[in-house]
Amino acid sequence: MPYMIAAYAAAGTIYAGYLISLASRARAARRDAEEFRNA
Amino acid sequence: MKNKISILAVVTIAVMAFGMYQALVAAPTERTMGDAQRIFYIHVPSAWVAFMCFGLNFIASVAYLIKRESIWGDRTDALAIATAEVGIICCTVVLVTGPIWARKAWGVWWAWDLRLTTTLVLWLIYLAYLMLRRFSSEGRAPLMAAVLAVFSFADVPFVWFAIRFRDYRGNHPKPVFGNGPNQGLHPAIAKAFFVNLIAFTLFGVLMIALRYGLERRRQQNAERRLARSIEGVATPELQEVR
Repeated sequence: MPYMIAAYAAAGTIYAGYLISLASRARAARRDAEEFRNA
Repeated sequence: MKNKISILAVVTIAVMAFGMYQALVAAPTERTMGDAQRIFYIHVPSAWVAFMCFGLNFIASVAYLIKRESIWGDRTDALAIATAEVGIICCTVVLVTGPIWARKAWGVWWAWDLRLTTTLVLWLIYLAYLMLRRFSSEGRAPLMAAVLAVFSFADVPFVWFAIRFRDYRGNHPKPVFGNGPNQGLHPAIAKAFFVNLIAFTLFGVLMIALRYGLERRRQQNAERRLARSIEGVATPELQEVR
């Protein structure tokens, strides 16, 4: 059981971390585009 | 485009939830390894998505080398970087979940087995690819990365066939499908596996679509920045997004 939990937790953390990183970079890119439009 | 991604996200979450139910609840507990065998349901699908991404990266890189002067140049380059990044994330999951499973099944975290070693080399090659893209100057980076990607893909068949060689005697198990009579999976385990294979494939496509969209936006921002600087208009202080 502990091995299974460790593996699922590790995989979940890696995938969730990547999705959070994508969301944060997408927000920054949108902000860039907005600043261009407003400049 | 945004609607299609939203629909894909909803379908992926639903299939993934069903897949996790199949993996953690519905599938029977394996006799010798116990619950640790359930790592199989995330380990193998993640490896499959990594292979799929590296295959797409190869196709996109070849397409970029052929069509880089046309309107497809930026699109194929965006697809190449998206698939490389998602591929390396999935490969990382494979390299993390594998040793945890190995500790239970073999009694060691790591063995310098042919399959494990070639997978680690694959991960290092695509890490080098991403570092080349991140740290080289903007102009030549896509071309150099595309050339590197074509050579990087050469390792993928080695990883795939590593456990299929006739004289293979490593720790990693041989493939459970297409490996002769009296081989294969229990029907309940096979069902959980294929549901997760579909779920992870959808998840992989979703991550690629999101990363591709981000890269296209970044390319458009870079083009606008260049156009402004050529026009001599002062550009606002913009944060570089990679």
